[in-house]
Amino acid sequence: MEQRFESQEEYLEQIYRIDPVGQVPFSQLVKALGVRGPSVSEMCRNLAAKGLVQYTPRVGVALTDEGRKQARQLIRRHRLAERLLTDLIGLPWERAHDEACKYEHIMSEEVEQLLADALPNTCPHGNPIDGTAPSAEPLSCLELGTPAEVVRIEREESKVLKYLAQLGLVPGASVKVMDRAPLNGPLLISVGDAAYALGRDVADRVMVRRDA
Amino acid sequence: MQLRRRWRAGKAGESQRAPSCHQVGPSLRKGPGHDVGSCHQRGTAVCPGGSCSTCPLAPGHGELAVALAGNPNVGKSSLFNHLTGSRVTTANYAGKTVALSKGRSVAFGKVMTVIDTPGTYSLQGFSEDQIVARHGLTNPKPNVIVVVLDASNLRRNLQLYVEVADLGIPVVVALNLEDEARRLGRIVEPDRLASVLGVPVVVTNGQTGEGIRSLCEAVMQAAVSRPASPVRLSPEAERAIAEVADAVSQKLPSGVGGLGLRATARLLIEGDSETWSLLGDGLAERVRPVVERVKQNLREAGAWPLATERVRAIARLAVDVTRQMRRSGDWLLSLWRLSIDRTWGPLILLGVLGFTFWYMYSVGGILSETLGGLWGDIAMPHIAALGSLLFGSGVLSRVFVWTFGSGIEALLTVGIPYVFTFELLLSLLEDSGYLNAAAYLADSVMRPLGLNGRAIIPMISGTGCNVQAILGTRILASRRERLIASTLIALVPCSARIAVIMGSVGAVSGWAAAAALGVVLILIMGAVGILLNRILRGERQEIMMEMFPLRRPLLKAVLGRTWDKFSGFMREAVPYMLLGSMVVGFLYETETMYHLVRPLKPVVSGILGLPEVVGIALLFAALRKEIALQLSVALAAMVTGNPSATLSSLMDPNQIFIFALVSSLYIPCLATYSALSHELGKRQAFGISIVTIVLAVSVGFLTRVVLAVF
Repeated sequence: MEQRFESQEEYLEQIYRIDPVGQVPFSQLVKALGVRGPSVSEMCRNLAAKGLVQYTPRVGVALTDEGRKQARQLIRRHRLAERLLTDLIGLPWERAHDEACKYEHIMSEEVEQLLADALPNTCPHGNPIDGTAPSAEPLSCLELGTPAEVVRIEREESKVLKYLAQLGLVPGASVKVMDRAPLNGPLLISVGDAAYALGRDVADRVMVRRDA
Repeated sequence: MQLRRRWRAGKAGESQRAPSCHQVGPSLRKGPGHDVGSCHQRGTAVCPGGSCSTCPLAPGHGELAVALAGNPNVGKSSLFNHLTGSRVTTANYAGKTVALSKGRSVAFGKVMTVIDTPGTYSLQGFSEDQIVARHGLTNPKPNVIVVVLDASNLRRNLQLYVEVADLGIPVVVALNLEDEARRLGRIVEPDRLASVLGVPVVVTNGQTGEGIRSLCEAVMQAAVSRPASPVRLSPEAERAIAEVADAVSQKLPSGVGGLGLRATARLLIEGDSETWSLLGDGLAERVRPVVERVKQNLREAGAWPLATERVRAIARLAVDVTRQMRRSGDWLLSLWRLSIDRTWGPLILLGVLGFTFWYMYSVGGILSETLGGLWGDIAMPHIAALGSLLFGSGVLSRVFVWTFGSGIEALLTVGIPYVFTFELLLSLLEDSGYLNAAAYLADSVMRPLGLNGRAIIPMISGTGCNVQAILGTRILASRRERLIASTLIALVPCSARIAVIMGSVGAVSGWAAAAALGVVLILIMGAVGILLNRILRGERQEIMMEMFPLRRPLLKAVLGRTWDKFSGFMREAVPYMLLGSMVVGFLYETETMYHLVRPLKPVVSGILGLPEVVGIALLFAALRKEIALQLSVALAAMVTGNPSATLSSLMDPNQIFIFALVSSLYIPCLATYSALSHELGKRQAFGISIVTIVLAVSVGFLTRVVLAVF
């Protein structure tokens, strides 16, 4: 029964991550979950019976208000768990996500509140844990010409972010967004004496704090 | 003798040119190698070891291997050319060099093998070219590494120095682009840099060759010196490296892959997959817990990632090496800002593209007509006369006229007017650094194709020659991107194909038709890219590219490179053109041609609606694309029986359009095919060729239908 409950929450979370408000195509959900189609449709029917989603067979699902609330809470717990694991007990970043997936389902409301008080208000990836203003913001959100300092590069184990480090985009580096290319193109940023073109998805992962 | 004394570093104000004995030319021209400084006697000035038998400078000790390392676009290749007298292509954008080049140089009586490596930010491999660079520096180990630093961006450049200094090899620093730094108001003091790093620092100028002799002197000296001492990181980082080095050294006292113990340990901590795989399963099993532990400690001490530690170490070192001056207004800098401006940038890009088209159409067209006309009026009668003088009036005589008359005419109407003029413009664009701005602006346009903006650089250079462009895709990070980009490059009209399009469609139907063909080609490339992006698994790599300001192109370099490309084209094209003309002449005169084209008839006439004989031109154009135009003009002459007939007597404008389109799209030429096969594999090259044939025939048919309706 426990197993079943967990996976039901997993579904809510996944739907929320794909599209918190709109309808998520059935095929996309199947792909994201990596589960066979029939199991997905069965689970969707169950969720719909509980009033958590609106399910149109073979077309897609959309979260109801109640479903959205539950999904948001799960994600909040997931992020708190990640913070706990990486900041306090030093679990490597790349393992934090998988571990946190287990923690989010067993966390009580009380523990959640205590953790939220004790921990910084962003997950290690820089995403705000809930509703509160982020202490650091993604480089991609910075206004043109505002000087800022790199606080954190996320997922530093990955190849991409290693490359960023080679370019000098490491915590402590001062950085400025000089321009944004048209048509949602890359950012033009300056780091030290050099200028770089940086895709927006990458810039999302570079967390900065504005200079006071 | 104390070797690592504080260096009288390289003639900061050196205004004298390289010594008089310095000559630039192919290395073969001068005995064993390019002589850089033979006017100096070895021994007295250079070899401090005297007759020491282990001295690498001693006679009979073999050649001195010197590798050049540095960030992209800092001028390694220019220095390499000055050192070795080679003419490796250089240009103002990152990723021009994607393979190792070797050249020989004689300095002070000693033969040096100089190795030029692709530019890289780190010894850790991110893309193919970076992996090539690392191998050039470590495997086999060179005697000396020259780290070329861009004086205008010293701090970032020094990060690579820190990694190289770990390798346990003597290092010399070449401080390049010093003029550029001055222009930007940054002044580096080489004496201070030398004392801070503890290695010789020589100021060089890759464009003029200043400082090359001092560089050679420093390299000779370094070859008998101790290895560069590593730049010390924070105590926590040093402790971590020492612990891992200790664990590795029990089995492998000198590290793996020619990296030396320190670099091996550092790369293991940084998670470099190649170093881990070199370690072997058994040792990796034992080292992994140690690495996990030290990484944990580093995180707790706030000394993670190690790249941060490098930046901090450099910040400590570089404090008083650079002076900042107020920079004066600079029109090139303003122009650069404008070229990447969100509003002006795209307009300028469109302007550059439009100008390129206009320039090819008008300048190329005028040249082509003039040269062709002159050849027809002046030389043709003489060739005909010579033919009958040598071979009488038979078949041989007429084949002679085909070969030298029509063959050379084709060269004059294709090679010189279009290939030369286009390479000149491309070279100018490459040297100015504009392609970098184009890549930045084009990023969002390339997104649906599964590529990032950087891929536009090899694609643009593909308009010169596809072969170089396909090698150039090594700068792309994943195999998926390389596959997509290479397929698209095979569809990019190279200068030979541009010549075919301009010389056929442009000449017969005017610029609008040629432009329409260009648009059709671009649409096809877009469609193919989108399709490949859908089919192939994997993700697009976001753009992460250094932006370089525009530089004033050096006329001499631009002309030199244009000439190199053009003469390369002529060397390869002339035999093909002459031979092709001869074969066609022979086939025609002996009337065997019709048997040859018959099997192609269903496709050529049936589907594409072209005259049957054009099949010959399409067949031969798989060798070299410009043959398509040359042979079809020759075929026109043949069919009409009039030696000065033009293409329009063979085909109507619609047919010419289809012909140019098909010959541009189908099968990449032989050289491109082998480049594809070399870079991606035989299967992929074959697959791409099949795709292009199917594409050419179906698009050709569709165009036929559309043109028939309107």
